[in-house]
Amino acid sequence: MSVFRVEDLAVSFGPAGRRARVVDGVSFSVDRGETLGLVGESGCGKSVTLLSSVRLQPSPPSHVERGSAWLGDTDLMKLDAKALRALWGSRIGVVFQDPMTSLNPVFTIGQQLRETLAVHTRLSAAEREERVIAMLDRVGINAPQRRLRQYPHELSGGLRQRVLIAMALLLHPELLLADEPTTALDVTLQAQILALLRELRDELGMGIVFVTHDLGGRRNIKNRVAVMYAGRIVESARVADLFRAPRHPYTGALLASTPTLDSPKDQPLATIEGMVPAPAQRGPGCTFAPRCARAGERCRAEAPALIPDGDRAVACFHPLS
Amino acid sequence: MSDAPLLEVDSLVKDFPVRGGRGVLHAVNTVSFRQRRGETLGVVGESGCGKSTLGRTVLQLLKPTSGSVRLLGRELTILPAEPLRQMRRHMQMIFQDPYSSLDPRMTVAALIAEPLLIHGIGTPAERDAEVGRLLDTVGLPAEAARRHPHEFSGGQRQRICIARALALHPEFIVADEPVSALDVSIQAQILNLLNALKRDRGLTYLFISHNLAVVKYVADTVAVMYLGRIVEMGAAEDLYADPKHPYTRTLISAIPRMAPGTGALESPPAGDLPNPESPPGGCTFHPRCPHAMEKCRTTPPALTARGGTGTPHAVACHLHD
Repeated sequence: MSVFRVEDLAVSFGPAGRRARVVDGVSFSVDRGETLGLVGESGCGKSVTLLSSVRLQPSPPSHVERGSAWLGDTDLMKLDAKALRALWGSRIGVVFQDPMTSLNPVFTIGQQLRETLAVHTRLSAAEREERVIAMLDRVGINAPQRRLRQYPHELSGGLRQRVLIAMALLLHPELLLADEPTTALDVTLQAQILALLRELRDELGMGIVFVTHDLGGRRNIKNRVAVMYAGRIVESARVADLFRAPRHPYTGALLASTPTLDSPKDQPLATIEGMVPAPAQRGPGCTFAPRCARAGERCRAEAPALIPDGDRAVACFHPLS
Repeated sequence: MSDAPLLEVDSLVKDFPVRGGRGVLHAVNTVSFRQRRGETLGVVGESGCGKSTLGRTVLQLLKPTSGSVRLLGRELTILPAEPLRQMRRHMQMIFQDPYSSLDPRMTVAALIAEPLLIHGIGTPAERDAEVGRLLDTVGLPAEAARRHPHEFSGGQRQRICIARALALHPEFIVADEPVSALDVSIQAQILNLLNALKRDRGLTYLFISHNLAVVKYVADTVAVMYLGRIVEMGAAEDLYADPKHPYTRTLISAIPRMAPGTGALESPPAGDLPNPESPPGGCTFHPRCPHAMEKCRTTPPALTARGGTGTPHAVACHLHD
């Protein structure tokens, strides 16, 4: 059963008449206890997709042209600001990329965590304190009482990121959105945070949607991946299937160009020629066609739809076998 | 590769004063290594381990606290300003961020010719011709010379930085996270370029990166740093096939695998990097090490050769005593 379902989302930026569409007809869904990774290179529209889907992308300058986003049977696109504020932090938890800028530097960790509970619940002060300490403990923070009295700058990057995760999870949301939550962290910390998210997901039965630029990473936590290119999802599949047999030529090229422990040293890495087209330069066809060795006449004229096939889907007229 | 070392670093120390004036931070702590001509040494470790400080101290961009750095047989640490400036022709640096390392007001031609101008090499016409050759070498079109850095993408800017570093025909290059700021598909292009330059020009790289898969692809030998010290060093194939230090094993197991089902060597270490201003006694890794023994808390282990094919495979860990 899906916790969150986005249908045909299109988002553009800029003033009317000169709008550039950066997300073009994106659909996905995530089930309870499932993780979906939105993967792509910078500028592919993955963060805009994530934030727009829960109306956290500031508008203007962004503009949702069409689409719906269902949290249970509520379409978030139809809600007013007050109704959205009631959902953010309670049924929807969000963890942003940079733990330094997402915490308020002039309040202690305790003040910020208690505030979340004060806004969304009728718990007493003592109950709030208890809940906050339990959650900090849950995300692996030692001596939580001491941390509550500290300011964000007194904590390391790993601890700050854990505080943000604790804050996002305080009200046991159904849906957790995370925008590159580990990019700013070192590899060993990344592994710790991802293990923590996976544990909490299973325990609380959340759905997680995760944005990352790193196709190789995070394979431990994602159940499914949707690969984005130039504003569209070009392929989605279970993680293992995607790595074993990518179907979209872009996914294949991306995997081939990533150095791994198994890359032969005497051979050059595969590269993708050319550059991602800017939003204004995207033609009617497949957005990858100008860089694709397999592209034909039809690819340049017509955009392929994302066609499901079992539990995976690909948007390509000439997929890899 | 010839056997005479191009670079010899012995017991190099770089201290920084700690805020408040009490004590010092040993950013680089008694580091020794040698590099043969044409040999790439990869330095890996998490942020704060001292790997960037090491690169800058070797190049004398930071003045060493003590120790010796010999390049082409000449001791750099005691050189007065003018002879050191002359030696800089032989050693150059490529930085992580191609956005902040190029003056936005200069043309690409002026940027690439600047090192030649500073060292008084060639006539204006000769410098122009050299700029053309360098652009061609790094895969940029000749007309790039007249343009400004902001007109280029991140990958193209890194090519400009590489052309600039090559202008004086250096023998030794410190590359500090040269692809970390770039998208995956662009990383492969720059790594291929660096490898081709090494082959064609016999360059010797000190390649600093937090990404162990990238380092495995480019490096002949690898040094792992933790809190200012080298904890393990050896030929790349030895170190990755048989990591001996628990910290190295942790780092390698944190690398995402392409082939599913590859088991993890070690779970991520508990806790954060200790405060480098007051590192733990004994082995500095012991508070995070699953195998720590009594001895590890009291006696710092020395970096000792424990086998290795050709290049000695050295590790600083009591488990191998």
